[in-house]
Amino acid sequence: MRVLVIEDETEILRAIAQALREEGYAVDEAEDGENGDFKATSWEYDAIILDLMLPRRDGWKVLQSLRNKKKTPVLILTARDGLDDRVRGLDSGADDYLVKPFALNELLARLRAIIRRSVGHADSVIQIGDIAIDTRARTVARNGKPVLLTAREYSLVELLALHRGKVVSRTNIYDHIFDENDDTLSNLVDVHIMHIRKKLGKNFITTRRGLGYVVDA
Amino acid sequence: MRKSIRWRLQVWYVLVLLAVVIGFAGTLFARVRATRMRQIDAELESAAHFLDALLRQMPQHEFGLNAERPPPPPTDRKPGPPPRERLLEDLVLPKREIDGARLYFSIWRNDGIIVKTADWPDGRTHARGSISPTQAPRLGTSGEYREVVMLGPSMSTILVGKSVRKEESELRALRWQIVGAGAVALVVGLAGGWAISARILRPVAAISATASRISANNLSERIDEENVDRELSELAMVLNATFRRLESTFARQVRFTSDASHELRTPLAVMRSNVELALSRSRSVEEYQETLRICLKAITRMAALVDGLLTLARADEGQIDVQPEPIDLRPVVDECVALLRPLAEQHAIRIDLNLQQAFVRGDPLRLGQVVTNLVTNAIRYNRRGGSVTIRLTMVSGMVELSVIDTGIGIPPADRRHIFERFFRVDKARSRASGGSGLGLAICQSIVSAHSGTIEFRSQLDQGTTFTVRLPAVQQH
Repeated sequence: MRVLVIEDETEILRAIAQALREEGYAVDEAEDGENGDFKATSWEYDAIILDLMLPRRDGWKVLQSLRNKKKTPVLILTARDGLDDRVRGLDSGADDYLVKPFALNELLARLRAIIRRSVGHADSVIQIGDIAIDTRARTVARNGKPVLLTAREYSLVELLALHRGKVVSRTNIYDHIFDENDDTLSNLVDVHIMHIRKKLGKNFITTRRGLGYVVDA
Repeated sequence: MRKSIRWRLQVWYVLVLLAVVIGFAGTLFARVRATRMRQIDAELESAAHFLDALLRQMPQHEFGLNAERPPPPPTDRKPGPPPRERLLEDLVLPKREIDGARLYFSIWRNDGIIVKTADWPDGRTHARGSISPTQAPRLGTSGEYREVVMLGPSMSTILVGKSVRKEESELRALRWQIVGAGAVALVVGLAGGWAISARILRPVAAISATASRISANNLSERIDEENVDRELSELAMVLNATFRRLESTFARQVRFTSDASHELRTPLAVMRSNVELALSRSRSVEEYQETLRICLKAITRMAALVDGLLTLARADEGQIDVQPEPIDLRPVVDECVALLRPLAEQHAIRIDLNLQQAFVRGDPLRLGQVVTNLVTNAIRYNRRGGSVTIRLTMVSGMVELSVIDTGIGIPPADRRHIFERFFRVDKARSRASGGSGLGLAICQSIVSAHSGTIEFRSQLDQGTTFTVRLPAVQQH
């Protein structure tokens, strides 16, 4: 999962980004509205965390320009309270709303929820054959027995599972599990797929030659 | 019960209308009556003159009007003028009873013997008694009779009278008609007045209805100034101006609360997110130290903010402690500048001082805060290698403190907001440099608590000059 965080308070941005990375997300950062707007509209993020009070272009404008082009789920962060802002935020196309100071755990839970909803899953546990993926605990079990995956492997499994039945291209996978700071080659994806097949069975992931990968086809 | 304009209008209306109706009806009645009476009198007088003329044509002696001179004995029985009895028999008034009762009359000889009487109404005695005739006809009223008395030929007395019962009853009828018409006019007038006062007061009611609809949640509504009369449109304009002021004050208050919550919550969010992150797993000592550094920075920021807000709150409540003893501002400025020199050096800014002794009544701590805020801004929003000049002078009874920088200036669009709480020209920059957005608002509050003024002149990329003026005090 690749997430963009747009927040001008350096220390808050730092904490959110690190917490997300530790949860296995690929995280891009933007410290002002202009930069955030550019990144949000030029990449396919799984979700965007957006602060409203931003220098150079406020959060409302970023949200508006994003909504003209994309449906990326957006979680708004703000230190202002008041019902008006909340209603306006949700009406302008934000998917959720969190008031500062927030609990990191709540932020993470809400982020998972808007990502699940955006791909059409309401449940936090995705069951595919004998494989159960718990997106809340970020664990995978096969026939009820937990299987140990690395953070990257888990992200890949979750990405494919959320888009079950659909072919996900290698570039797409690359875009979603690595962030702007990763400097890796795309054949790393093949290595991760190989490891996952070892742990979850050869047939869990099907290769579509020249197109990409798919689960639960 | 409170006095109602409508009731008061109505009472005045009743009084005025009543006076008008009574005056009008009274005058009308009096005029009609007088005209009628003049007609009767003229009729009586002309009848009296007629009788007088007739009598004068008759031979006096034959008529026997004069008692002292008896008529000469008849000398011959030749047919001559008819005997006096016949003459008197034939003496009648021309028929004048087209309207009203028949005229009656009597003629007395100079010795009071009645010689002729005609058409006397029943029940009317005709004693000559008190009558003392004059040459000119004299009119009088006796009961329901109007009579005229005058001196005829040979000191005879002529009386002509007429019953005015019919006229009187006509006038009585007229009186009742006028009273009835007046009453009807009064009632109709009152109903009309009530309706008109309702109509006049309707826009007032509409204005008060609109005004009462305008509440804290709905301050944008306005009273219609266009469709009311001039007198009321002035009221509407005054009310609207009040509502406008109220709305902007309220909006400022809402913005202030919202800004304050933002400013206070942001450092809390910094601390909470970083502490939660640090606690989510075990970390290295360096990571914990970094977290603590971040928290300390957030705490410092919050402390400054809380200080600023408290200062503003105190100033708003007039709790700034202006000491009665005059204080010299020069050492206050000196002290503040000394503390700011390291900051100036850090930004490579030269500080020039031009200070005179200047005594004011005030709180040295608060005034020092003003100096510190202004000089800090002058250093922060300056260019590298620039300068800050601080001048303290006495100008016509006022102490004038000027802080002149060679900095970036204030964009024209932002100039009217510069003293607003939490207003920042460049949000990112001032936050990075530690500004709370309250500095100038605090300066303004403190200065006005000292009965002074603060103003500025600014030129983009040239610099800004802030000038504080405080009432000077003579030092003994």
